[in-house]
Amino acid sequence: MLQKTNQAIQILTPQQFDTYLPKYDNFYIGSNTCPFLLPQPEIFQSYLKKSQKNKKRLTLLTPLLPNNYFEYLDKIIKIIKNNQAENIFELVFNDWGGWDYLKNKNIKLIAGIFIANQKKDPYYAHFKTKFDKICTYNVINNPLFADWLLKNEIDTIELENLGQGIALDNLKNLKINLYTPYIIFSLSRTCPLALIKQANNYLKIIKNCPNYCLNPQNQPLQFTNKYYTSFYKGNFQTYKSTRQIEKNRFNKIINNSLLLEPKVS
Amino acid sequence: MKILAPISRYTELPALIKNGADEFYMGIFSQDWHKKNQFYNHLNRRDNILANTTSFLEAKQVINSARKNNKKVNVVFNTDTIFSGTHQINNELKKIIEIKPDAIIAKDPIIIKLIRKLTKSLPIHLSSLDQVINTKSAQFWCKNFKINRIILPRNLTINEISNLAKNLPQIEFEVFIYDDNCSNIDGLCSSIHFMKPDGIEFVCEREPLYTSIDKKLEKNFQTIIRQKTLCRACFLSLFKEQKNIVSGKIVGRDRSARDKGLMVLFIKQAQNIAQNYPNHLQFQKKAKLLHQIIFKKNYCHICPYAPKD
Repeated sequence: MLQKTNQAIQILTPQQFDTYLPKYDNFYIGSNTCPFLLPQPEIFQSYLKKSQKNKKRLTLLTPLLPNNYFEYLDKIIKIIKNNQAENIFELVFNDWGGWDYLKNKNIKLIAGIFIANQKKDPYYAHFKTKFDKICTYNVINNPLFADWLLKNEIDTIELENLGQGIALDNLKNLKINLYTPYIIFSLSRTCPLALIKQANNYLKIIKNCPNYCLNPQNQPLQFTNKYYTSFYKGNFQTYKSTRQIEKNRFNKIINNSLLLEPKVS
Repeated sequence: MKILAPISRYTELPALIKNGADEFYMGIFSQDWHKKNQFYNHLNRRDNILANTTSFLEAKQVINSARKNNKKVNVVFNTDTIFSGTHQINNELKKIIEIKPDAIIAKDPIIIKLIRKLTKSLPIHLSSLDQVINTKSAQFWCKNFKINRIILPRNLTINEISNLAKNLPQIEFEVFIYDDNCSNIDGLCSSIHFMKPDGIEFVCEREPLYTSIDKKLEKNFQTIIRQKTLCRACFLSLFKEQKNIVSGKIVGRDRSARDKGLMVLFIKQAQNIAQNYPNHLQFQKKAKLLHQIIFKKNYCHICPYAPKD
């Protein structure tokens, strides 16, 4: 189905927000991967006010949520209500508990990349003929699942632009937002970078983090073989997909190149 | 807390029962599914024939024999419905229900709904792949899908497990008590974990191969990424008063019968220690020694659950 495709950018810092303000109409803040990367309420308020002033849309990404982060969601909802910003705000959930908590709070909710659970190992882009059907399909290609999402008023889900491609059959009326170029193919609650910086010698879940991964001096680690190069940043592994996008098949394209690059590519 | 052991062959059952297993979980190799889908035989995320009973007939033997010994058997069916038709999935579910297991372990919300359409009475255990890490998620699944037990993911802190169990006393929980080597969130693992195409290693096996221009960071990274503990026996002591943590799961359907036997033996004896030594530190010292005797190594120095000096 052909449609107009919107453009968005995922940013990590307020400075990036200011830099790209003239160029994009929709800003993604927060994180799919780490609750420590959620913006503090004061900073969120600042993003919101700038978005309202400049007629931009603001999308908050939320990861799997430990119990103590539901208070944070309350604060965010309160800021949205106080600023009457429901019409420019949307929230991406990767945790069904988060969706259940927010579903009647009059904000737009979008199913995140970990709800679709695509098959994202970078090897599959190179073994396509052998694994085509398995690796391009995911749960949303099942019409029953698509129906269930729509019945629960979830009409948009986010996917990543996999190297092997994405099957777009049986989507019913689901809208798809697509991340490009970086694909997150593994995630851990035990962040090796934070553990190293805090002088730990074994894997555990840390209690606080000053966002070491956002410091440009902490470059991601790299793995290269004859098929691909991947990066380990913070608590996730990612690779860069070069697959062409059929733009008018998607509701929105989200540029996430700032996850690993200093400027948008 | 019951000891939940993996089983993949009928012949493993007597030794596992003798060593102390209270409950079992298994995958079933489906010939029908294999014929139609070739290598895509991961209805339970382990397509390895060693990790599954060879047939529904063998699975039925396991269930009947376990039942004679008052032990329960749960069947793993934690796949996604990624194909456009659910007809095949429905057929597989019917075959599982026919052999009358004590529960099905499922992940996908549509599959859970299909199970409930086919049977109202068979208990459903929510797979750890659904990543229930907060009370709202637990309530979501139990309220909307009539889940009987939640298998908690392996990447929770002691406080998180404790809070879930205390805040939701009406829900049964299962924890991993002896694990495998993955430190990633397995429910979000988008590698097709049960397949090794052309001998290529799993995503988690590639982690120690990462390098950096910062050689100190690289060395620290490669060291820390290898610090993976299998043992979580401390849960036997820490949660023994928490009545709704009903089961401790041992990972390893594809492990050898000998390994499975040893893991069950260790956990059973550790459970006895936990009964006799209410003080956690005393328990840990005894359990550490026991682990050393059985497995010739221990993990307490790299375990986030073991008390540190």
